[in-house]
Amino acid sequence: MTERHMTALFWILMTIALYRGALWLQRKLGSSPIANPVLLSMAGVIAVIEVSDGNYANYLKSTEILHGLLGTATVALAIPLHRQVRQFRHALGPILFSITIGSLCATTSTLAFCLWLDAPQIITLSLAPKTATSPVAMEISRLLGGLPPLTAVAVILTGIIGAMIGPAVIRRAGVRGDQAVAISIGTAASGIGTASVLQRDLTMGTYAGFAMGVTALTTTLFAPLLIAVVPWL
Amino acid sequence: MLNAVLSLLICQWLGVQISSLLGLPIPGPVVGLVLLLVYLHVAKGPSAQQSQLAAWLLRHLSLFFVPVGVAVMMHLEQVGSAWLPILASLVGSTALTLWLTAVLAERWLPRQSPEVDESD
Repeated sequence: MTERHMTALFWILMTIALYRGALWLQRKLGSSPIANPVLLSMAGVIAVIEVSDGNYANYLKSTEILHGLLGTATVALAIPLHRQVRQFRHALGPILFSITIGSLCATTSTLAFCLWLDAPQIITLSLAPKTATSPVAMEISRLLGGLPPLTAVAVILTGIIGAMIGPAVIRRAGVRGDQAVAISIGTAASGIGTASVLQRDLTMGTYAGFAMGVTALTTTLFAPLLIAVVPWL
Repeated sequence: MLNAVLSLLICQWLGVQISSLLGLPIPGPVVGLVLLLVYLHVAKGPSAQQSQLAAWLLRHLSLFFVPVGVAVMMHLEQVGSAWLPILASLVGSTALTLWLTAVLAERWLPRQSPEVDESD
Protein backbone atom coordinates (compact mmCIF):
# COMPACT_ATOMS: atom_id res chain seq x y z
CA MET A 1 0.00 0.00 0.00
CA THR A 2 1.36 3.40 -0.96
CA GLU A 3 1.43 6.27 1.48
CA ARG A 4 -1.34 8.06 -0.42
CA HIS A 5 -3.58 5.01 -0.02
CA MET A 6 -2.78 4.82 3.67
CA THR A 7 -3.73 8.48 4.09
CA ALA A 8 -6.99 7.93 2.23
CA LEU A 9 -7.75 4.86 4.31
CA PHE A 10 -7.09 6.79 7.51
CA TRP A 11 -9.41 9.68 6.65
CA ILE A 12 -12.22 7.46 5.33
CA LEU A 13 -11.97 5.36 8.47
CA MET A 14 -11.93 8.49 10.65
CA THR A 15 -14.99 9.96 8.88
CA ILE A 16 -17.06 6.79 9.18
CA ALA A 17 -16.01 6.23 12.81
CA LEU A 18 -16.89 9.81 13.80
CA TYR A 19 -20.21 9.53 11.95
CA ARG A 20 -20.94 6.30 13.80
CA GLY A 21 -20.12 8.02 17.09
CA ALA A 22 -22.32 10.99 16.17
CA LEU A 23 -25.27 8.67 15.46
CA TRP A 24 -24.78 7.08 18.87
CA LEU A 25 -24.60 10.49 20.56
CA GLN A 26 -27.76 11.67 18.79
CA ARG A 27 -29.67 8.65 20.06
CA LYS A 28 -28.36 9.31 23.58
CA LEU A 29 -29.63 12.88 23.33
CA GLY A 30 -33.16 11.76 22.46
CA SER A 31 -32.86 12.27 18.67
CA SER A 32 -33.13 16.04 18.95
CA PRO A 33 -32.71 17.82 15.57
CA ILE A 34 -30.02 20.05 17.12
CA ALA A 35 -27.81 17.02 17.79
CA ASN A 36 -27.51 16.54 14.04
CA PRO A 37 -25.12 13.68 13.23
CA VAL A 38 -23.71 15.45 10.16
CA LEU A 39 -22.89 18.65 12.06
CA LEU A 40 -21.47 16.59 14.94
CA SER A 41 -19.27 14.44 12.71
CA MET A 42 -18.18 17.49 10.69
CA ALA A 43 -17.10 19.16 13.92
CA GLY A 44 -15.23 15.98 14.89
CA VAL A 45 -13.43 15.74 11.54
CA ILE A 46 -12.52 19.45 11.66
CA ALA A 47 -11.08 18.97 15.14
CA VAL A 48 -8.97 15.99 14.00
CA ILE A 49 -7.71 17.87 10.91
CA GLU A 50 -6.85 20.92 13.02
CA VAL A 51 -4.78 18.93 15.52
CA SER A 52 -3.02 16.94 12.76
CA ASP A 53 -1.84 18.91 9.70
CA GLY A 54 -4.69 21.38 9.03
CA ASN A 55 -4.66 20.29 5.39
CA TYR A 56 -8.30 20.38 4.24
CA ALA A 57 -7.47 19.90 0.56
CA ASN A 58 -5.70 16.66 1.43
CA TYR A 59 -8.71 15.47 3.49
CA LEU A 60 -11.07 16.21 0.58
CA LYS A 61 -8.87 14.34 -1.87
CA SER A 62 -8.60 11.37 0.50
CA THR A 63 -12.36 11.03 0.95
CA GLU A 64 -13.31 11.51 -2.71
CA ILE A 65 -14.94 8.09 -2.84
CA LEU A 66 -17.54 9.06 -0.21
CA HIS A 67 -18.35 12.10 -2.28
CA GLY A 68 -18.75 9.93 -5.39
CA LEU A 69 -21.29 7.76 -3.59
CA LEU A 70 -23.35 10.89 -2.98
CA GLY A 71 -24.22 10.93 -6.70
CA THR A 72 -25.17 7.25 -6.55
CA ALA A 73 -27.38 7.91 -3.53
CA THR A 74 -29.06 10.74 -5.46
CA VAL A 75 -29.95 8.30 -8.24
CA ALA A 76 -31.28 5.90 -5.60
CA LEU A 77 -33.84 8.53 -4.54
CA ALA A 78 -35.82 7.37 -7.59
CA ILE A 79 -36.80 4.13 -5.83
CA PRO A 80 -38.81 5.58 -2.91
CA LEU A 81 -40.08 8.31 -5.22
CA HIS A 82 -41.48 5.73 -7.64
CA ARG A 83 -43.22 3.89 -4.80
CA GLN A 84 -44.69 7.10 -3.40
CA VAL A 85 -46.05 8.27 -6.76
CA ARG A 86 -48.10 5.04 -6.86
CA GLN A 87 -49.09 5.32 -3.24
CA PHE A 88 -50.33 8.91 -3.54
CA ARG A 89 -52.02 8.62 -6.92
CA HIS A 90 -55.43 9.29 -5.30
CA ALA A 91 -54.35 12.88 -4.64
CA LEU A 92 -51.25 13.35 -6.77
CA GLY A 93 -52.38 16.63 -8.36
CA PRO A 94 -53.07 18.56 -5.13
CA ILE A 95 -49.97 17.16 -3.43
CA LEU A 96 -47.67 18.04 -6.35
CA PHE A 97 -49.28 21.46 -6.62
CA SER A 98 -48.64 22.30 -2.95
CA ILE A 99 -45.05 21.06 -3.06
CA THR A 100 -44.25 22.86 -6.32
CA ILE A 101 -45.60 26.22 -5.17
CA GLY A 102 -43.93 25.70 -1.78
CA SER A 103 -40.52 25.02 -3.26
CA LEU A 104 -40.90 27.94 -5.68
CA CYS A 105 -41.60 30.10 -2.64
CA ALA A 106 -38.51 28.70 -0.90
CA THR A 107 -36.11 29.63 -3.71
CA THR A 108 -37.76 32.98 -4.45
CA SER A 109 -37.83 34.07 -0.81
CA THR A 110 -34.21 33.00 -0.26
CA LEU A 111 -33.14 35.15 -3.22
CA ALA A 112 -35.31 38.03 -1.97
CA PHE A 113 -33.86 37.88 1.55
CA CYS A 114 -30.29 37.72 0.19
CA LEU A 115 -30.86 40.73 -2.06
CA TRP A 116 -32.58 42.68 0.69
CA LEU A 117 -29.79 41.96 3.19
CA ASP A 118 -27.11 42.69 0.61
CA ALA A 119 -25.46 39.26 0.74
CA PRO A 120 -22.42 38.84 -1.56
CA GLN A 121 -23.34 37.23 -4.89
CA ILE A 122 -21.48 33.99 -4.18
CA ILE A 123 -23.40 33.57 -0.91
CA THR A 124 -26.73 34.17 -2.68
CA LEU A 125 -25.88 31.57 -5.34
CA SER A 126 -24.89 29.09 -2.63
CA LEU A 127 -28.10 29.56 -0.64
CA ALA A 128 -30.52 29.56 -3.62
CA PRO A 129 -30.85 25.73 -3.83
CA LYS A 130 -30.83 25.13 -0.04
CA THR A 131 -34.35 23.65 0.07
CA ALA A 132 -33.33 20.68 -2.10
CA THR A 133 -31.86 17.65 -0.34
CA SER A 134 -28.07 18.11 0.22
CA PRO A 135 -26.57 16.05 -2.64
CA VAL A 136 -28.83 17.71 -5.19
CA ALA A 137 -28.45 21.17 -3.65
CA MET A 138 -24.66 20.93 -3.72
CA GLU A 139 -24.62 19.99 -7.40
CA ILE A 140 -26.99 22.85 -8.26
CA SER A 141 -24.78 25.20 -6.27
CA ARG A 142 -21.70 24.04 -8.17
CA LEU A 143 -23.44 24.57 -11.53
CA LEU A 144 -24.59 28.06 -10.46
CA GLY A 145 -21.08 29.04 -9.39
CA GLY A 146 -21.76 28.95 -5.64
CA LEU A 147 -19.80 27.27 -2.84
CA PRO A 148 -21.06 23.66 -2.47
CA PRO A 149 -19.69 23.31 1.10
CA LEU A 150 -21.67 26.36 2.22
CA THR A 151 -24.72 24.92 0.48
CA ALA A 152 -24.32 21.64 2.37
CA VAL A 153 -24.18 23.49 5.68
CA ALA A 154 -27.13 25.69 4.65
CA VAL A 155 -29.25 22.62 3.83
CA ILE A 156 -28.48 21.09 7.22
CA LEU A 157 -29.24 24.34 9.08
CA THR A 158 -32.46 24.73 7.07
CA GLY A 159 -33.45 21.21 8.11
CA ILE A 160 -32.74 21.88 11.78
CA ILE A 161 -34.58 25.23 11.71
CA GLY A 162 -37.53 23.69 9.86
CA ALA A 163 -37.79 20.71 12.21
CA MET A 164 -37.67 23.02 15.22
CA ILE A 165 -40.03 25.85 14.18
CA GLY A 166 -42.17 23.79 11.76
CA PRO A 167 -44.90 22.56 14.13
CA ALA A 168 -45.34 26.02 15.70
CA VAL A 169 -45.43 27.92 12.38
CA ILE A 170 -47.92 25.45 10.91
CA ARG A 171 -50.18 25.59 13.97
CA ARG A 172 -50.12 29.36 13.75
CA ALA A 173 -51.19 29.11 10.09
CA GLY A 174 -54.32 27.35 11.37
CA VAL A 175 -53.43 24.08 9.67
CA ARG A 176 -54.33 20.87 11.56
CA GLY A 177 -54.30 18.09 8.94
CA ASP A 178 -51.49 15.57 9.49
CA GLN A 179 -50.83 15.22 5.76
CA ALA A 180 -50.55 18.99 5.25
CA VAL A 181 -48.13 19.21 8.19
CA ALA A 182 -45.96 16.39 6.81
CA ILE A 183 -45.92 17.81 3.27
CA SER A 184 -45.04 21.27 4.55
CA ILE A 185 -42.13 20.07 6.69
CA GLY A 186 -40.83 17.72 3.96
CA THR A 187 -40.87 20.57 1.43
CA ALA A 188 -39.29 23.24 3.64
CA ALA A 189 -36.86 21.14 5.68
CA SER A 190 -35.89 18.20 3.38
CA GLY A 191 -34.01 15.31 5.04
CA ILE A 192 -33.83 16.46 8.65
CA GLY A 193 -37.45 17.62 8.52
CA THR A 194 -38.53 14.29 7.06
CA ALA A 195 -36.64 12.43 9.78
CA SER A 196 -38.43 14.48 12.45
CA VAL A 197 -41.82 13.60 10.94
CA LEU A 198 -40.84 9.92 10.58
CA GLN A 199 -40.05 9.75 14.29
CA ARG A 200 -43.66 10.52 15.11
CA ASP A 201 -45.52 8.62 12.39
CA LEU A 202 -44.38 6.25 9.64
CA THR A 203 -47.19 7.03 7.17
CA MET A 204 -46.76 10.76 7.58
CA GLY A 205 -43.04 10.21 7.06
CA THR A 206 -43.76 8.93 3.54
CA TYR A 207 -45.66 12.14 2.78
CA ALA A 208 -42.69 14.17 4.02
CA GLY A 209 -40.25 11.97 2.07
CA PHE A 210 -42.27 12.41 -1.10
CA ALA A 211 -42.29 16.18 -0.58
CA MET A 212 -38.51 16.07 -0.12
CA GLY A 213 -37.99 14.12 -3.38
CA VAL A 214 -40.28 16.33 -5.43
CA THR A 215 -38.71 19.48 -3.98
CA ALA A 216 -35.28 18.25 -5.09
CA LEU A 217 -36.59 18.01 -8.66
CA THR A 218 -38.50 21.32 -8.71
CA THR A 219 -35.60 23.21 -7.10
CA THR A 220 -33.29 21.83 -9.79
CA LEU A 221 -35.53 23.54 -12.34
CA PHE A 222 -36.43 26.70 -10.41
CA ALA A 223 -33.05 27.75 -9.02
CA PRO A 224 -31.19 28.22 -12.36
CA LEU A 225 -34.35 29.65 -13.96
CA LEU A 226 -34.92 32.27 -11.27
CA ILE A 227 -31.27 33.25 -11.23
CA ALA A 228 -31.34 33.63 -15.01
CA VAL A 229 -34.37 35.92 -14.94
CA VAL A 230 -33.26 38.10 -12.00
CA PRO A 231 -31.12 40.62 -13.89
CA TRP A 232 -29.27 42.13 -10.93
CA LEU A 233 -27.77 38.83 -9.78
CA MET B 1 -26.85 -7.20 -5.32
CA LEU B 2 -24.42 -6.74 -8.21
CA ASN B 3 -27.26 -6.06 -10.67
CA ALA B 4 -28.68 -3.40 -8.39
CA VAL B 5 -25.27 -1.72 -8.06
CA LEU B 6 -24.84 -1.85 -11.84
CA SER B 7 -28.26 -0.34 -12.51
CA LEU B 8 -27.59 2.62 -10.21
CA LEU B 9 -24.10 3.23 -11.60
CA ILE B 10 -25.34 3.01 -15.20
CA CYS B 11 -28.05 5.59 -14.50
CA GLN B 12 -25.54 7.83 -12.72
CA TRP B 13 -23.00 7.56 -15.55
CA LEU B 14 -25.59 8.14 -18.29
CA GLY B 15 -27.04 11.06 -16.32
CA VAL B 16 -23.67 12.76 -15.98
CA GLN B 17 -22.86 12.15 -19.67
CA ILE B 18 -26.22 13.47 -20.88
CA SER B 19 -26.05 16.52 -18.63
CA SER B 20 -22.56 17.48 -19.79
CA LEU B 21 -23.02 16.61 -23.49
CA LEU B 22 -26.19 18.70 -23.73
CA GLY B 23 -24.79 21.38 -21.42
CA LEU B 24 -27.88 21.12 -19.22
CA PRO B 25 -28.09 23.33 -16.12
CA ILE B 26 -29.34 20.17 -14.33
CA PRO B 27 -26.91 18.06 -12.24
CA GLY B 28 -25.96 14.73 -13.81
CA PRO B 29 -27.10 12.60 -10.83
CA VAL B 30 -30.55 14.25 -11.02
CA VAL B 31 -30.77 13.31 -14.72
CA GLY B 32 -29.77 9.80 -13.56
CA LEU B 33 -32.58 9.86 -11.00
CA VAL B 34 -35.09 10.70 -13.72
CA LEU B 35 -33.67 7.93 -15.96
CA LEU B 36 -34.10 5.41 -13.14
CA LEU B 37 -37.68 6.65 -12.57
CA VAL B 38 -38.43 6.02 -16.24
CA TYR B 39 -36.85 2.57 -16.02
CA LEU B 40 -38.87 1.73 -12.88
CA HIS B 41 -42.04 2.83 -14.63
CA VAL B 42 -41.30 0.56 -17.60
CA ALA B 43 -40.12 -2.35 -15.41
CA LYS B 44 -43.18 -1.95 -13.15
CA GLY B 45 -41.18 -1.36 -10.00
CA PRO B 46 -37.75 -2.05 -8.50
CA SER B 47 -36.30 -5.48 -7.80
CA ALA B 48 -35.93 -6.53 -4.16
CA GLN B 49 -32.18 -5.97 -4.44
CA GLN B 50 -32.65 -2.47 -5.83
CA SER B 51 -34.98 -1.57 -2.97
CA GLN B 52 -32.50 -2.93 -0.42
CA LEU B 53 -29.54 -1.12 -1.91
CA ALA B 54 -31.44 2.16 -2.18
CA ALA B 55 -32.64 1.87 1.42
CA TRP B 56 -29.07 1.31 2.60
CA LEU B 57 -27.61 4.20 0.57
CA LEU B 58 -30.33 6.61 1.62
CA ARG B 59 -30.17 5.65 5.29
CA HIS B 60 -26.54 6.70 5.32
CA LEU B 61 -26.91 9.58 2.90
CA SER B 62 -25.65 12.06 5.47
CA LEU B 63 -22.33 10.23 5.85
CA PHE B 64 -21.55 10.91 2.19
CA PHE B 65 -21.69 14.66 2.54
CA VAL B 66 -19.57 14.99 5.68
CA PRO B 67 -16.38 15.55 3.58
CA VAL B 68 -17.90 18.31 1.46
CA GLY B 69 -19.37 19.95 4.53
CA VAL B 70 -15.96 19.96 6.21
CA ALA B 71 -14.62 21.91 3.23
CA VAL B 72 -16.64 24.89 4.46
CA MET B 73 -13.54 25.57 6.60
CA MET B 74 -11.73 26.51 3.39
CA HIS B 75 -14.19 29.37 2.87
CA LEU B 76 -14.46 30.51 6.47
CA GLU B 77 -13.67 34.16 5.76
CA GLN B 78 -16.26 34.55 3.00
CA VAL B 79 -18.95 32.73 4.97
CA GLY B 80 -18.13 34.28 8.33
CA SER B 81 -18.39 37.85 7.07
CA ALA B 82 -21.91 37.15 5.75
CA TRP B 83 -23.29 35.17 8.68
CA LEU B 84 -26.16 37.56 9.36
CA PRO B 85 -27.74 37.56 5.86
CA ILE B 86 -27.14 33.78 5.71
CA LEU B 87 -28.92 33.05 8.98
CA ALA B 88 -31.71 35.57 8.38
CA SER B 89 -32.51 34.26 4.91
CA LEU B 90 -32.46 30.65 6.12
CA VAL B 91 -34.89 31.35 8.98
CA GLY B 92 -37.06 33.74 6.96
CA SER B 93 -37.46 31.65 3.86
CA THR B 94 -37.95 28.41 5.84
CA ALA B 95 -40.74 29.95 7.93
CA LEU B 96 -42.43 31.39 4.84
CA THR B 97 -42.20 28.08 2.95
CA LEU B 98 -43.55 26.06 5.89
CA TRP B 99 -46.49 28.44 6.22
CA LEU B 100 -47.40 28.62 2.51
CA THR B 101 -47.02 24.88 1.82
CA ALA B 102 -49.09 23.92 4.85
CA VAL B 103 -51.90 26.33 3.93
CA LEU B 104 -51.96 25.15 0.29
CA ALA B 105 -51.86 21.45 1.20
CA GLU B 106 -54.62 21.88 3.79
CA ARG B 107 -56.82 23.64 1.25
CA TRP B 108 -56.17 21.32 -1.72
CA LEU B 109 -55.84 17.84 -0.27
CA PRO B 110 -58.94 15.64 -0.19
CA ARG B 111 -60.56 15.57 3.25
CA GLN B 112 -60.91 11.84 3.89
CA SER B 113 -57.78 10.03 4.97
CA PRO B 114 -56.66 7.78 2.11
CA GLU B 115 -56.18 4.06 2.32
CA VAL B 116 -52.46 3.46 2.54
CA ASP B 117 -50.41 1.16 0.39
CA GLU B 118 -53.05 -0.89 -1.34
CA SER B 119 -50.75 -2.33 -3.98
CA ASP B 120 -47.26 -2.60 -2.62
